[in-house]
Amino acid sequence: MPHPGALLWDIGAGCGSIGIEWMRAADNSLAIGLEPREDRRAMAARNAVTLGVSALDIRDARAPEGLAALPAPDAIFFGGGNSDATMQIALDRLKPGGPARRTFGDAAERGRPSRRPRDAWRRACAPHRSARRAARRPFRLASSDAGDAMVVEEAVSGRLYGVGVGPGDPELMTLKAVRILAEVPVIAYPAPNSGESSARAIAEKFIPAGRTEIAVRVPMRVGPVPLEAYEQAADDIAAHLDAGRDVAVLCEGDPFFYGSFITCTMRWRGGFRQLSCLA
Amino acid sequence: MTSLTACAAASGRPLVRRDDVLMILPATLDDRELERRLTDTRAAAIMKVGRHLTRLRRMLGRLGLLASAIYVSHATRGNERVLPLRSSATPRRRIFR
Repeated sequence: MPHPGALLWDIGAGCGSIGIEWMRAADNSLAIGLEPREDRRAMAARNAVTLGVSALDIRDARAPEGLAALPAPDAIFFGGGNSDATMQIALDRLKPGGPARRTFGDAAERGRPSRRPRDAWRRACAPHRSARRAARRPFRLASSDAGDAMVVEEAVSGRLYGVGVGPGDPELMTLKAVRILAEVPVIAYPAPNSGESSARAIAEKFIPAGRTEIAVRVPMRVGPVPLEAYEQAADDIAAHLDAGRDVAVLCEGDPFFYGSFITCTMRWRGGFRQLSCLA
Repeated sequence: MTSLTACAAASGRPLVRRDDVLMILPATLDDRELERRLTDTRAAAIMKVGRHLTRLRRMLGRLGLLASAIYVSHATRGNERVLPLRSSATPRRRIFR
């Protein structure tokens, strides 16, 4: 169970899923993955970027030789194929104390590496996962065994699209944005405390009648981020996603170019399908 | 729509938000100029990378920026690639941020 700043060794990183989950679960946590196979390292690197944790440190090394150069970890995950000797060498480097030691110590003391790292991980992190479930739900990692290709797949939930509507002239919206608006059942957008949403006004003629619309009333003022409004919006949107409905979140200009509404509301790192649309 | 914002979308990360300052740099600038500007900004996009990728990788390493640098090529096309710049799988050309 990662705490902020915690370091994980993922020995035999494979597709990177364990380290990625680790880094997504707590701020500033870091994972170092050892993986001797180049194709798997490349896959892990791709997965890390896709899932918003590009700082995942995947190294070309084997255990136990590769362990000496690493900083001492707060937790260790053993992929398949590690010998008892390797596990002992690694465990000797583990920082003392903390729930991670028990969790991973237990796994190692059973005398064999977990054959199903996802399941082991789920058990190990059960309390933590449930606490953060709302924030992480749109995507899950799927990997049946260490070394498998990790598939980034939507869980049972709907897809979340960040849709930039461009600078203002509706003719400058992209064909892709228009297509998404025609397809999704739920459309959310920021709006001032009173009055019309500017993002919605730009996209108006492409929003079909009868769609569920969520106007998120955000006080437009200088000052701190209006967190309550964003959090409420995130909850509302998550409820639709959980029910399997796709949601488009509108943004003036481009979502990733000062699109505070989208980036603050959608704090799932890497967890949505971005569409940026700008003239 | 510019390749810059397409690369941001492909990378899955905001280019800039809140009070961030974005620097857009052509890789063709000389080392000193690039380093000076990279150390003076919260976010940077480097364009026109081409043959400069190895040089940029070294420079970002020196400046401690390599861990957060993402490489994007052929954004939005069928052969789009998005990788951490420091990944050994990253080719020897082109870079984003």
